[in-house]
Amino acid sequence: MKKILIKKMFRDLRINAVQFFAIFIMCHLAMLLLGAFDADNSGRLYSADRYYRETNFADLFLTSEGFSKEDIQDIRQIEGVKDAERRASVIGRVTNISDRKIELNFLESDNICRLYTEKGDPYTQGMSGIWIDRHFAEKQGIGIGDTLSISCKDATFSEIVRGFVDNSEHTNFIIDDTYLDTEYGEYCYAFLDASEYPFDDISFDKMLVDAANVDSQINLDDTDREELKKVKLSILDTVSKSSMSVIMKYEQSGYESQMSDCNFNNMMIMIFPPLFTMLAALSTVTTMSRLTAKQRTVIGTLKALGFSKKTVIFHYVSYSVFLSAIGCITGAALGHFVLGSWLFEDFIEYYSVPDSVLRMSYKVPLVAAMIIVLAVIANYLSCRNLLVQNAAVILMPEAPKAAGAGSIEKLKIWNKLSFATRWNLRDININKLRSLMGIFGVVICSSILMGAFGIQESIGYQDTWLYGDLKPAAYTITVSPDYGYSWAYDIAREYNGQLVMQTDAEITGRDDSRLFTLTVVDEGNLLRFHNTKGNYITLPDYGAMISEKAADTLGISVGDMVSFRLPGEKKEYSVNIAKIHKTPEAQGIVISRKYYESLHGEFDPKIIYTNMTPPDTLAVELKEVSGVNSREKYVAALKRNNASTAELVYVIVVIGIIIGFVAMYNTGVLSFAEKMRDVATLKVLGFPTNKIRWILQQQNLFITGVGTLIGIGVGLVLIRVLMNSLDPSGDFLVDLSATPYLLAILFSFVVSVAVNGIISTKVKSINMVEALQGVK
Amino acid sequence: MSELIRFENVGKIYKTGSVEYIALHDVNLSIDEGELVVVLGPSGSGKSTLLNLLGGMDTATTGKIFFAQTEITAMDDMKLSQFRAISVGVVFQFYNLVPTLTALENVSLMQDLGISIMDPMDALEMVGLGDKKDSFPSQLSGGQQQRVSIARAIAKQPRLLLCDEPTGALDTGTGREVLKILQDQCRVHKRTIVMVTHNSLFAEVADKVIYVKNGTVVDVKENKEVKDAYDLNW
Ligand SMILES: Nc1ncnc2c1ncn2[C@@H]1O[C@H](COP(=O)(O)OP(=O)(O)O)[C@@H](O)[C@H]1O
Ligand SMILES: [Mg+2]
Repeated sequence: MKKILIKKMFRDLRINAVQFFAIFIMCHLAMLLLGAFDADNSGRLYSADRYYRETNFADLFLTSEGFSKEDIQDIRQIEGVKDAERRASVIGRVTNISDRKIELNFLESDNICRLYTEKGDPYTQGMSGIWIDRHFAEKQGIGIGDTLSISCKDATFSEIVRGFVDNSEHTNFIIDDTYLDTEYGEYCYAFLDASEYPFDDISFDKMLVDAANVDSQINLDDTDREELKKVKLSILDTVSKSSMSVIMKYEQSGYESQMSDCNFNNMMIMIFPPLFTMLAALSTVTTMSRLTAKQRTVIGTLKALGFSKKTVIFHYVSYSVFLSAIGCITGAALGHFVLGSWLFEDFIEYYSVPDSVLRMSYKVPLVAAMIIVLAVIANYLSCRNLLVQNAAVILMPEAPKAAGAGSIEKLKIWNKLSFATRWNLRDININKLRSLMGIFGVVICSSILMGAFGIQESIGYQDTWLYGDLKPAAYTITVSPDYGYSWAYDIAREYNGQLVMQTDAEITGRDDSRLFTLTVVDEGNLLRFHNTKGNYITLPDYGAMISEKAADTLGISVGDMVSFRLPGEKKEYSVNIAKIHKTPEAQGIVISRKYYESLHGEFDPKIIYTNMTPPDTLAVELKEVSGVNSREKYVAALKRNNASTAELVYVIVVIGIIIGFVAMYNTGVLSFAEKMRDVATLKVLGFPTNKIRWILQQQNLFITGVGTLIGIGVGLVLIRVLMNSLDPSGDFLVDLSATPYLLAILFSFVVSVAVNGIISTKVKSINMVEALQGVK
Repeated sequence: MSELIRFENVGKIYKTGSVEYIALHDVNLSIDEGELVVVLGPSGSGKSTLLNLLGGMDTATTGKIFFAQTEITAMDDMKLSQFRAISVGVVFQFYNLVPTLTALENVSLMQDLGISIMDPMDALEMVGLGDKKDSFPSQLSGGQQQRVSIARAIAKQPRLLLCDEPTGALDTGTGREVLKILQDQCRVHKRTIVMVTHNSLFAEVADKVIYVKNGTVVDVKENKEVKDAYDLNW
């Protein structure tokens, strides 16, 4: 053990704490963010995967008006199908516990998407009673053995609660359009045996299919997806029902939504930890080259005293090993347990996955090791040149670098430049690496700030855009699924509303065929459209509009003919694309009612936009109305949804400013130390302190300017990547206002000027004699 | 007495960019075990270069250097480090103590070399600084720092002690004390000492004086009579 050398290291660390803090904090932040997003992501994936496995999550979900015995037998015969199970679901009300909506699912068997019993007796075929979702039981204070009075269509009946359950098909269950977000416990889903069905003829509207050759749940690979598609096609071939729709498990709402959240986490993991890791390496280079330069004599002496090159290198490398290790470990721990838990709360709140736990993936130790190795390499490279020389050479004072500003000096304007500019240009040219590192530090700081402020604006603008510009209606009335056009028409007429039909549609473009949204719009002015520049455009009577995002995905441009199909329908519609629009939600195709009906489509609107105020009780009084929501409620829901992202943005802005400050301070101190001799010379020549400080500040402003310019470009890319991963069905405004640009520039310059100001106070106290010593 | 060091046609050329500078050329000399040798010459004449080559702190461009019959000019970096660690103690003009270590720690540092050394406290007491063991270099005077540096050099009990202008930064009185300590190391502890100086007075304390000028040895004198450090007319 090199006891004294270790002691020396700790003393050096303490004396140069501010400088060394940079290495520590960069590693810390890199691992903090990685630890947090990894904990959240791995926790989500692990918990969901375990849950899906334990309950045998279905591979395909079929819906239709009714599946017969023959249908299920046929489907079971299909190659690649292991098992299938029918369910009948109806919406009713619980009447003896206030008045709550309840989704009743009648089971024939329970082998796919099995009930996950939290409390009470597990369900087995033929049992009487009801199994209700655990959130509802908790929130409404229902106990096992209690009786629920249920009304459903014309029937009323009572059921005894036998158990509390979770169900993997209901991971983000929203009962109907009354609710915009999951509000567990406010409504209920429940399971009963098919024999409890309150009406004469049971109509199984759902079928769950277990595919024989797909074992994966969360980690579906391409083979799995192909297999699912194959089975889907076989099912469509076998059962010819006009109203049937088949979705694969990765399209199921709970599943898809979880995956898209993970996608965002993955993006964060891919962007921020590498950025901070680079900064950690940068700080290591600057700090360690400064330290070794300062300890030139000590290094020479150590070598002269008989310490081997290896020992001395090891000694100096141990600084960064120690700092990066401490930084990584504390960062990972804090990230995992604190920030990670905080992120994970969102998951727990939004998804109902029982026994969900935080997890740590291999990425955390792997990246930590990589950061440490990188710091070691950076450290080694930054002091190797000095350390490999002979002791006697190291003990000689360093010769000053001498060079001009390069070819620029040959230009005519050179002589017209002020002394300060010439001095700065020479200085930058001589110390290219240092200048590059300075720029790099600013780039990272300003790109993070630009990214954060940009995302904040994009997200913040989302509600004005969607509920101000595009959907200005004060109220949205939703029509119950079982009530057709004439009902909707009557309500629309009463409230002077605009009728809109919105449904899933499989759109086939040049490149691909994918599930998007079809919007069919009746006359009115309550649903409006923007082009990609954010200007209003009108929907043509005979011609379709496609959203930019769908157009990009499918490779569609204006003038193309595009075909789409509604799930459960064989019929193929073909429309020509007249315009491209941009919308933050419901990506897909928009056409007018006229156009749709001319193609023999059945206009079945379920949405009514109105500016009149319907009574609060409308949804309760009219069975054909399933929900009435105000604009304010939508805006609030959107804000709630974006709240955690917005908070995250604040965290990142704070981190960005911290690291900007630290990185700039670090490179600033280094560059000042290198300029010390020149500064001392200038002082000796009689330059006043303020003038010298201004010369230094000019160089700093130049570096900050260049760095900010590049940083804003990088930031714009960041915004695009992150916003796209935020919500695959969403879109965002690209044309940012000047605000995020100005904020990013302002913060970068404020940080940079402040740092330079702090450092250049040393000009005043510089010891001219000492600084000039060594210059022979 | 047996020969400890021999230089055979040693030359040293420094290259700075494309400029070559001949710091030493064609140096031949021999030093016996237990001698106190003073290397005298004007500034820039190559004294330090000679000392650095002797201690394996720099590599000769031409020629051979032997230490106890072993050719150190043929050693690789690892072997040279080992040679310095075990056989050579160095005292510098500006002491070169590690500023973040106390007096005692600066001496104990030699333990980190992985060689057996004398008790660092004993070494400090030998130079009369036992009571300053917890002081940092910045809290010590120049003479005290130089004594710590000597303690550091002798703690490993090297056969060869190299001193480059050891009194160069000290006033007369302190310089004399330091010189005395070094002389004792030679007389009492039988250590070979090579001391570089531009102060010709020091010739009187040496067993042998090597005169260097313009990068080469111009004269070597053996002293019949050696003065005590305190008797120098300084
Ligand atoms: N590392 C080096 N690079 C270039 N020149 C050097 C180097 N070390 C010493 N010199 C030159 O070699 C000559 C001899 O130096 P040195 O041995 O230190 O002289 P002395 O110790 O006698 O004053 C001097 O002119 C010095 O400038
Ligand atoms: Mg010298």
